[in-house]
Amino acid sequence: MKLFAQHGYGPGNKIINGLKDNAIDGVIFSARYEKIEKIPGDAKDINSVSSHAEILLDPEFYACFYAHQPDAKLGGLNEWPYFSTQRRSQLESSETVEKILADTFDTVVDLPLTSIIAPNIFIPRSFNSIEAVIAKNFIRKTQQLFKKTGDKRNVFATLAIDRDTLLDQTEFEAFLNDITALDNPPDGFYIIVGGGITDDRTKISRSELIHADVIAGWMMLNFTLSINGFKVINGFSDILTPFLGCAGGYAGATGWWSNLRMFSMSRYINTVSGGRLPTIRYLSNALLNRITHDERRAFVKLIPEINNGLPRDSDYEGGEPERKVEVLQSWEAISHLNNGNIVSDIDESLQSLENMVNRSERTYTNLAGYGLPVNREANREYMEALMESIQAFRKNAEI
Amino acid sequence: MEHLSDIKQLQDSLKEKVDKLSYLAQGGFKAVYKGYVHERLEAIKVVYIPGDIEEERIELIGRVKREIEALDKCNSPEFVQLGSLPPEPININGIDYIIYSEEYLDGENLRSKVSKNYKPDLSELVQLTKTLLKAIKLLKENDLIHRDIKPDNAIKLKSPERPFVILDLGIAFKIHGTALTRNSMFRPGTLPYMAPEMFNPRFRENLDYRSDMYSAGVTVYEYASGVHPIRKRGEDAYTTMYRILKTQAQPLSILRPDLPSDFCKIIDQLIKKLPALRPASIQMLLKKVKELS
Repeated sequence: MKLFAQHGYGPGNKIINGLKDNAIDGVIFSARYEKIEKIPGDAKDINSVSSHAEILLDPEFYACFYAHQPDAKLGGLNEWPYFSTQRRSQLESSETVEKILADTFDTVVDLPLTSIIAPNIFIPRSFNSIEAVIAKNFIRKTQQLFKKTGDKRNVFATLAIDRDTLLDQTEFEAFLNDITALDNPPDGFYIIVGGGITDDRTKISRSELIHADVIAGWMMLNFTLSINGFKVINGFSDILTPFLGCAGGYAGATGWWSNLRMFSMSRYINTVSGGRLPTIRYLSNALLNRITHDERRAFVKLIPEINNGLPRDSDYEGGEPERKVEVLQSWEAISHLNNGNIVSDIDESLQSLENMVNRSERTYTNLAGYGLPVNREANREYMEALMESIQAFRKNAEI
Repeated sequence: MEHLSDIKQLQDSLKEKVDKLSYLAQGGFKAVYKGYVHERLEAIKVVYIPGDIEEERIELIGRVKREIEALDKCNSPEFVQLGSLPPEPININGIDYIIYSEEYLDGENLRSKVSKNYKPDLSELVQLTKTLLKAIKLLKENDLIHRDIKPDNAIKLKSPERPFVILDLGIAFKIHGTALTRNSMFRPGTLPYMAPEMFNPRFRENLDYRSDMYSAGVTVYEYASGVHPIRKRGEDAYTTMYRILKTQAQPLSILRPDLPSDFCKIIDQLIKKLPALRPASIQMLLKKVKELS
């Protein structure tokens, strides 16, 4: 499974260094933070370190409903010619959907991208909604409109959904049945699963996405789409990437800020910011979690396997590393989890995931046994959610 | 068949058109004979049209018409071909029938072969799977769903160029067409081969060709293993229905460990409960199956 950098504010040299480390396989540029005129140069730099790197652009059209709000945080999105304020009622017209698709493709088709991501809107609550009907229309017309450009690259339809949509099994299954039998389907899907719509991002707890039914649903999307011949790229998948890869996903992505690891529509709404930057953390594969430098230093004396045993560990040996190193260590750790768990046989992959979660659960138990403060209860719930998600996925996918 | 016509009287009614009529089989409202039409051996279909219930009469006439239209559209080696006798009404002893002919197929249906504990090899199973997939593809291109794919409706011929043929489009469903059955609770088809989504109360709104893929998967599984993947012998219809909705089939590889696991996985995937879990791209499936042969 491939791992991409989820691009966002302040990329610096992180992407180039991630490619040099062989920890990532490409990038998904954010239209909000990447200017159109900057892409050719950045793509050239990327190709100079990795000729096989995949370069994509998320058009972030799903932010269109926020564009008219005075406190919207759209960054450079308004500078992209295809981006415009939309009302839901306007998008119920097929002509409008076709125009948005055509405008987007006209804009991005000249850029040095390896594949094209099509625009779509965000489905906030349920697959039984007007937004879902509009989103399906975007998906249905993606290939048709892209072919008109004469371009031969793969085109990915965007499927941006709130986690709640995955909880209504009946509507979710009906949606799956629809999008897997399109007459002129896209080559793949770019999937984003978000938590929270308009609330302050800081209120969105990890448990919104680390929820058994949400993870199982996200895995199910990857599984059904992949067995139907689609490539699935998962945005903002972070630590869930190996789970999605075991279910057939082609790629996952994560970035350097917390809002690049977990998606929320609240990122487009102005919230109170400021204060200290978040603490630099280490992603421990044994814990399937990020811990602070101090925690790592304390834990590793008693349980050495807290260390991943990978090259980027050395950056943490001399004290808290520079902030730009943190994401390189995350990419390295997730890439290692992908390689260690994903095989061609899905049964074996799921068994491997279960072993990984069990091992993690034992590590937490060992830490608690030493009296170390690991928030035992929260992490027990976290591990339970991961394990239950694998079991729920097995059941739903009839494996 | 109700009111099976006397063969002598039938021969007399058809004496200008059909020679040497002999009985072959019957089922439902239809009986099948063989006879010579313009010196060519053909299968003569005789459909009983009840006279007392108008709705039933309209439905049956509609079905015959739809079957003939469907066969006309699906003019390919995977399907039985229409014969030279076009449909026409006849009346014998005051009872109405519609007769028409199809090509005569000199072969044996898969049900009969399964009952003899026949064990097909990989090459034959690949041929059967290819025939079924090509047939479903052609139906799909014509907005049709067969709805009654089963071992009884697949004939094994002796010709290597045309190893299998699919029969009986009598209950084929026309997507976007008008329902022939007025009873919305009625499920046309043969229960053990019906896809789970057929039991959804709004099945007519959501039905697509993947229900035929399911029936095709069940048919290949049963032909390969001699065992139906879901139904147990002797159980009642409600239990079978429950199993179709809830019980997962044993992987085919357990019953046929000699077959390549890739082939078994394809068949296992076709009989998944959720349509989205059955591969929708027939082209992709055909490519995979061809690679196995």
